[in-house]
Amino acid sequence: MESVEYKCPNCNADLKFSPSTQRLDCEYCLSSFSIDEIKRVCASTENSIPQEAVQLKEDFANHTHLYRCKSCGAEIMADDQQTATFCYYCHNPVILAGKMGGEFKPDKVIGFKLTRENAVDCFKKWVGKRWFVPKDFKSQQQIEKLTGLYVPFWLADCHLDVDVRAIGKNTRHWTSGNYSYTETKEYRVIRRANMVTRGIPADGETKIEDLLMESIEPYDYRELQDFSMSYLSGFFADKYDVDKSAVFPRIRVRSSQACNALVRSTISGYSSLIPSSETYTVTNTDWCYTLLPVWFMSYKYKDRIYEFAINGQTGKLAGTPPLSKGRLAAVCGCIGAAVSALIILFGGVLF
Amino acid sequence: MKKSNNGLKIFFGIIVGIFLLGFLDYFMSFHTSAPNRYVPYGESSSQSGIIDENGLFDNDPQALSELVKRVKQCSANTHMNILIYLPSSSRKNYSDDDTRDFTANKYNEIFGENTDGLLYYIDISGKSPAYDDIAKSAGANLIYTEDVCQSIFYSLDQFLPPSYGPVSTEHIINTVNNFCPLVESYYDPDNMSGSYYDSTADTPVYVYSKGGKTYVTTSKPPATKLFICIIAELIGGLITLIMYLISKHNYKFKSKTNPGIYLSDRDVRFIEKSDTFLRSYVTKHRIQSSSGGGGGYRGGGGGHSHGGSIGHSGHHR
Repeated sequence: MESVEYKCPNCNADLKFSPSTQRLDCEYCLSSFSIDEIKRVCASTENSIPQEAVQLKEDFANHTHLYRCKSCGAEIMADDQQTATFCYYCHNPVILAGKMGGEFKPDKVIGFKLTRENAVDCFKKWVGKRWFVPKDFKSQQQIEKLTGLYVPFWLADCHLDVDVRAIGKNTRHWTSGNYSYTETKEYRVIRRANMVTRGIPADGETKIEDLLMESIEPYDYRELQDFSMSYLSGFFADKYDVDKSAVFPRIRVRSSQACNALVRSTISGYSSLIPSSETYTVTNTDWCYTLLPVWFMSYKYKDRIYEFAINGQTGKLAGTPPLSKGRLAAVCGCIGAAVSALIILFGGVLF
Repeated sequence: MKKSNNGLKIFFGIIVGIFLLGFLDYFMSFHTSAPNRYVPYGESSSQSGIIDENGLFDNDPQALSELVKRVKQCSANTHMNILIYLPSSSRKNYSDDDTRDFTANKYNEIFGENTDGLLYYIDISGKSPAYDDIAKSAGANLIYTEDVCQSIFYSLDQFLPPSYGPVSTEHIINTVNNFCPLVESYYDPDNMSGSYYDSTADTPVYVYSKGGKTYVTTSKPPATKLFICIIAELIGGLITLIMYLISKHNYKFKSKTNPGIYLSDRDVRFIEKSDTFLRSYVTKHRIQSSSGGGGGYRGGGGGHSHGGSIGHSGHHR
């Protein structure tokens, strides 16, 4: 298969996308180009499946493909999902153009705004507060595993018909003589509405935990751009392997939750509320296939994979820190022992 | 397989930990102690007897001599110093605390500190109400407990006159002749249990028995020490467990983003938004009445000071 590399029009060196400037920079002649400029220069390769694509081996092991690096001629192996990667030998960014054709061509993209240094700082700050992670989780070797990855997301605009019915109760208490009285007033509460939840994301990637991706939301959609492969230069990228019909149940649940919270906020002044029926019917969904930037890291500790992700646009981070139970137990044990020793000492056991 | 090995390791670790803690507790409880101040009974009852400060037996020295003999015999039988004190009217104005101070210091003055023995103060000073006191020293505190002493007092009440009544030698003779058998009957050195803490002594001391031996030391009794050790370890263990669980909880995955951010007000159009009154009803319940108990009051005694390891049991007539 053919790979695509963006070359500097001045010196023919490789161009890399810079999150800080949102432009493609040449590290050699220090030229800088906007996405639109490069789109014009590379119009022949952008958004098309190259004519001279050479498949070196058909479906190697069914899911593995080989590509040729245009810089050094090395063969690059990539799996089904990868759409952008690096050459193992010359470390030049390589975009696997054929993967982005047809249905896999994203509609929109948000470019990385967080540089690698920013992401490392975020990670160090986050991990610095956690004393009981394994030592090598904080090591430089581990930090180097932080990878800039464009994750495929389905963004859904859901149109919902909402119908919520409940019985609201208000009570008043008083006493007279030897009796206590309770007056209860009941109200029929009806809320019917048309609502539109916009841009609920669901990652179309099976390899990454859904909850992890939900935790680094939200992205600022005002920075959504029409997709151009030039954004991928210098980062890894995957194409989706979960289609929109598969993510729809997740989207529907989150959309309903959003509507439910809003409807509940309009019902107040009752001492108790007994729901009688709640229906959230999705009447129409508009989809947008998007690549969103994520700094990603995984760590294997005691046969378990711990994943860590940073929103490549906002810097919001999430993840499950690995816990060194031995160290935690030792520290807690020492504190417990110190407390016991103090009680024994002041309890007059030793003298 | 690996998991079950880990479980076994933890299990044996806990067993070894408990064993080590048990050993440490034993060592701290039974092998750390201040010097024993106890002075064993000298097998001499020469100082035991009766002090008739009141002069009640001035006209009947023979009767007093008989009584002294009886007391000495009781002392020999119980291997304890025993003194009966008959105060003069000069002690009529003594408060209960003054009486306790006096008996403690008198005992120590005559028999020495931390010796086994007791001093029975029969209040015939004319004070009303009369306050009888038994001052107990060292091992006597473990044998003649508060309950035993109160039992003795009640038994002897029938032989003693009321506070305001005249006192005759006959009263004292009957009292002493009944006191000695009571002291002898309660004497059981093999059954000394518990401990006694004299907080009012110049140097507060604990009195306890271990392995048939009496101890008067500034250290707590081994059983108390062991109890403190176990409580301390339980508290330490609980703190360890709580800290471990809280810290572990902090290493759990934090909650996901609230989806409410994807719904803005401009995308919400209510078709119906109504709160309609349906009905109203009143329920009534009879209030259950209850009555509370009365308050209690417990007064504290005044402070006093003495040497040795003296305990008291007092009784108003």
